[in-house]
Formats: sequence, C-alpha cells, structure tokens
Amino acid sequence: MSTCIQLSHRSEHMRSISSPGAASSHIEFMRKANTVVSVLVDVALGILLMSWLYRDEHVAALASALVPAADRVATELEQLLQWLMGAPAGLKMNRALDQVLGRFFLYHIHLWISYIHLLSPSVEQILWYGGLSAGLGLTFALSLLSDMVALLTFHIYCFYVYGARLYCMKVYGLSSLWRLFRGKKWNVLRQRVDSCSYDLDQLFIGMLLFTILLFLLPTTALYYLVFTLLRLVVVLFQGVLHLSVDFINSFPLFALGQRICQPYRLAGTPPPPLNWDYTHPNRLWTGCPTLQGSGLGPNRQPEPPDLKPSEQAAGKLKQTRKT
Amino acid sequence: MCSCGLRQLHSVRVMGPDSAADQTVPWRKVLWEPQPYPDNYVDHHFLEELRRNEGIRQYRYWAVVKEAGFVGQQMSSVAIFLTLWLYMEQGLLAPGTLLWSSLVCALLGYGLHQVLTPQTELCSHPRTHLADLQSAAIFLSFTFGFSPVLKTLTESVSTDTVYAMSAVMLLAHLVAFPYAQPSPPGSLSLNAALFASVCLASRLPGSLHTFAMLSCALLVFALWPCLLQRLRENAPGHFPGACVGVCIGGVGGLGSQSVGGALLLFLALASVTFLCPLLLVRLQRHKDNIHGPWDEAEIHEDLSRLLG
Repeated sequence: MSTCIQLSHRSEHMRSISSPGAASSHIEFMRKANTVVSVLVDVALGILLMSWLYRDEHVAALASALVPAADRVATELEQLLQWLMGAPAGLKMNRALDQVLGRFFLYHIHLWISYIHLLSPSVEQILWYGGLSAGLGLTFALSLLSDMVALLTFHIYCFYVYGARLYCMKVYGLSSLWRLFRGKKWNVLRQRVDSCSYDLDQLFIGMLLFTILLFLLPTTALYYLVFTLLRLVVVLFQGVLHLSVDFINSFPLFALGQRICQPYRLAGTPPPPLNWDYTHPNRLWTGCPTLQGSGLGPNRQPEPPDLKPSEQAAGKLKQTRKT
Repeated sequence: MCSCGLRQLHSVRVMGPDSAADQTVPWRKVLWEPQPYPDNYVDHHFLEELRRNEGIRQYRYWAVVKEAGFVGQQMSSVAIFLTLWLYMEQGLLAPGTLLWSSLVCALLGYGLHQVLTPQTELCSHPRTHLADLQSAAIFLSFTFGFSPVLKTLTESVSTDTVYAMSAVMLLAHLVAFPYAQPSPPGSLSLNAALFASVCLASRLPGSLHTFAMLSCALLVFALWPCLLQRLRENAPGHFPGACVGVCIGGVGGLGSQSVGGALLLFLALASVTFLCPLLLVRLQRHKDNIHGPWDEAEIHEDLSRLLG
C-alpha cells in the first residue's frame, strides 16, 4: 500500500527535521533544508487540490462518474473475453478449453461488478474522507489514488495471476515431457540432463499427456498474453503516479533556490563523484558538494589545486605582467 | 631417393666426439634418448607396419537378407496400422469389432510370449501375471478416460497439417527403431509412433473410435516387437516366416485400399530386403581402410577384476 509507505517516509522526514541540535555538516544542513521546503511545497499543493475538490460539488460529480466508469471497464472486459472465446485474429484455438476458461473469467467479472454495485452508495463518503488526506500533502492524495486504482482493478490482477500460473505449469510440464519424448531425464543431483530408460507404462501415459499439453498450448498462451498486457497497462499507470510522488518527495528545491539567489554559498571545490543514497532507494542524493576551507570571502576565487608548479609559475608570471 | 637424401642429411648433422668414427647412428623408435634425428623422423620400416582392412567382416548374402527382413517387417506393420485407420475413417470397420479383435490378439500374443520364455528367465525375473494385468488396466483406463479430450485436440488443425505431422512422426519411428534390440522399446521411436497415432485417431468420428485406434496402436507398436524379439531369440526357425507373413499382410491390406500405395510398399520392401544387402555385399570389395601405428590408442580395460 503506497499510502503507508508514504506515511512512513514523511514521519522519517519529520524526525530528521525536528531532531535537536544544529546540523553537523553542510550536507546535513542542505538535506534538512530540502526536506522542509519539499514538505511545505507538498502541503501547499495539497491545500490547493483540496480547495478545488470541495468547491462546486466536485466530490459528488467524481463519485457519480466512478461507478459507471467501473461498469464500462467490466463491459469492455466481457467483450474482450467473448472475442477470445470466438476465433481471435483467425488463430486456431481449442474450442472446449476456450469455453471453459472464458466462462470462468466471465463469472469472475460478474462477481466483481456485484461487489462494486454493493459499494456504490458509500463511494461519495469514501471520496470525501479521502480528499481530506490531501491536506497532508499532494503526495498523500496521489498515493491514495494509486491504491484506489489497485483496488478497482483487482480483478485484472487476479486474471493475470491465474493466466500466468496456468501458463507456467503448462510450460514446465511440456519441457519435462519433451525430455521424456527423447528418452532423457533431468538429473537433480548433477543438475544436468541424462538418458533414462523408461517403462512402457510411463512412456505411454507421458506421451498422451505430452500430446494433450502441446495441442492446448496456443489457447493458454493467448489468454496469458492478453491478461499480461492488461496488467501492464494498470502497472504503467500506477508507475506514473509513484514516479510523481517520488519526484515531489526528493526534488532539491532548496538547493535550486540557493543556486539562483545565493550562488556564493554553494561555490567550493569540485564535487566528489555523485553517489546514490542507498538507504532510500527511491531518492536522489540531496546533499551538496562540501565547502572545504573556511575563510574564503565572497569575491575571491579559489586556486585550482591541480596545476603543475611550472604552469602555476607561468600563470603568476602572466598576472604580474598584466599588472 | 628420399631416404638417401635423409641419410646424407643426418650424416652431415651428426655431431659429437665420435662423429668421425661412425657416419650413421642407427635410428631407434624412442624419444627418451637424444638422437641426431628430428623427433618426427621415420625410417624405411615405417610403411611395413601398414595394415589394410583389418576388422573387415565377411557378409553372407542370405544372412543379411534375413536380418533385413526385420526392417521390412516394421515397415509393413506401419502399413497395416495405416490400413486399419483408413478402414475406420471410411466407416467400413466398427470400433467394437476392432476392440474385440485387438483383445483376442493381445491374449493370443501374451500366451505365445509365455510359451516362448525359457525356464531360466522365468526363475530369474519373475514378472507375475498380476503385474501384467495391472499394466494393462492402467493403459486401458487412461486411454478410455482421455479419449474424449484426445478427440477434440486436432479439431482446429487443418487436415494437411495432421497428415504431414503423422507422416514425419512415422518416418522418425522407422528411423529410430532399435532393430538390434527391440525388446525394451526405444523411447524416441515409440513416442513418435504414439504421437502419430494420436494425431490420426483424433480425426476419427467418435471417441470410441479414438479409443479403439489407440489400443490397436499400442498393440502394433509396443507389444508386437517384444513378441518378435522373443520369437527371434527362442524360435529362430519361425522368425523369417513371421516376417514374411507380416509383409504380405501389409501389402495386401494396403492394396485393398489403394493399389498405388501397395505398389510403393512392395518396391520399398524389395529394395530394403533384397537390393540393399546385395549392395552391401558387393561394395565390400571397394573397402580400403588402412591401419598402422599412427592410429589413436584404444584402451581395452578389463573391469571384471573390479566387479565382484
């Protein structure tokens, strides 16, 4: 649940901000400042969203549009399944297996629609209370939206899991029986394929099962492909939401503002190579290059430290010549 | 001329304290002593160790024909199976008839198999009748249970594809068949034959037809070679008679359906049984293998001293 993850991140940020004592180094200071600024911006955007949401009965409009949208999705899915149960794209499917799988998935959709209709009176209330969470920040609203999308498309996830399990089992069985076809066996001890002399009954039954699995493969593969694509669409949408949440969480606005307004505070030796902050895998490193050696005034340029002595002398000679 | 030149060469290259004394140091076929010759030097005794056609076997024509009869017999069994399938497809053969005749043939074959087993083998490997009955029950129940599923398998595949697949699989069966030792059936050949029979059986108009066809396939491809092997081992006088009988049955059966097929089968049988052994015997005279000390060493290990 991405809302819980976001809650935990925010509590961590709050703890880091409200720790007593000043920041120990410049990196710590910059990190804290970035966190404070991002939280403020987040809350501001969230309050903006709330003011838009609770005005002009937008909540009710959204709620009344949600249930028909779910119905539309279910109808589209039913049409897709009817298409699969026919002869999709001219492919040769096994009729019996097709009917069985199609009916099974249609029954699932029917169950899901009943569930949605059961929930429909309380959708408005849920949306109203969910909108309140935007007061904590835009990121919370976005993560709540992502969770709701996950709940609404739960049946697509179920279909994907069923299709994937069936397909994996079929491929596993087929590979094992193909080895039986050639007279070989997987040796678990040596992790390799060895020859094996099978009994007559084993050969016979294995052959029957191999034929059945082979001819039923196109049907299962097609169902697997269709449901995987559907699941990918949902995952992409959720991915976009998560990406924007992470962007708001970790964009270094404070550092950007400082660069624009007070660049002298950021000048220093060339930065060390960028390293990712591994404790927060979704975050960019929000520190800044360290400022070595105090006492540099605002207008003095530091000497480049890696010039050779001869070149340094030549540089000094040029300077004295100019003056 | 070559050896004279070489002798001159090594007479020039001989160096050492006694080079003035003897011109030619005799070459020995050893490498652990430094010799004035290069390591790959050979003298005139080399080609005397050449041997030609060492392991050649003398084939006798009629013995080879008798063994080749087995190959022809297998081709005819495939032809008999195809004939039965053609009859079932045209509706001239009822599945019940085929089932009962398969059962009778199976019982007869089982009885014959038991009669031909020598006493020693019965004592050392007792395979009870109960185990055989169990195997038969497993076959029949599985086939009967799966035949509705098997019937619908190739519904959506076109007829040409099914025929092509079956033809390729039956060819693979003939090629991969263990002609020397057919008693434990070879995996690839049996599986290919069963796959082809499932493909063909699923084209028949009813699930009972499918069941009958599969039982017949089991009989022809899995059980008949075992019986033939037993016949070959223990009653070698009757073995050629059985092969000839099967061949005639195959040609005759195919002839009742299509004369062209029967003619093709007859030509194939004649060439495999009579022409190919003739070629084998005649071409032996052109064999020219040379063996010599340059061959790779073969290690013949006698492991019997390691085994109890």
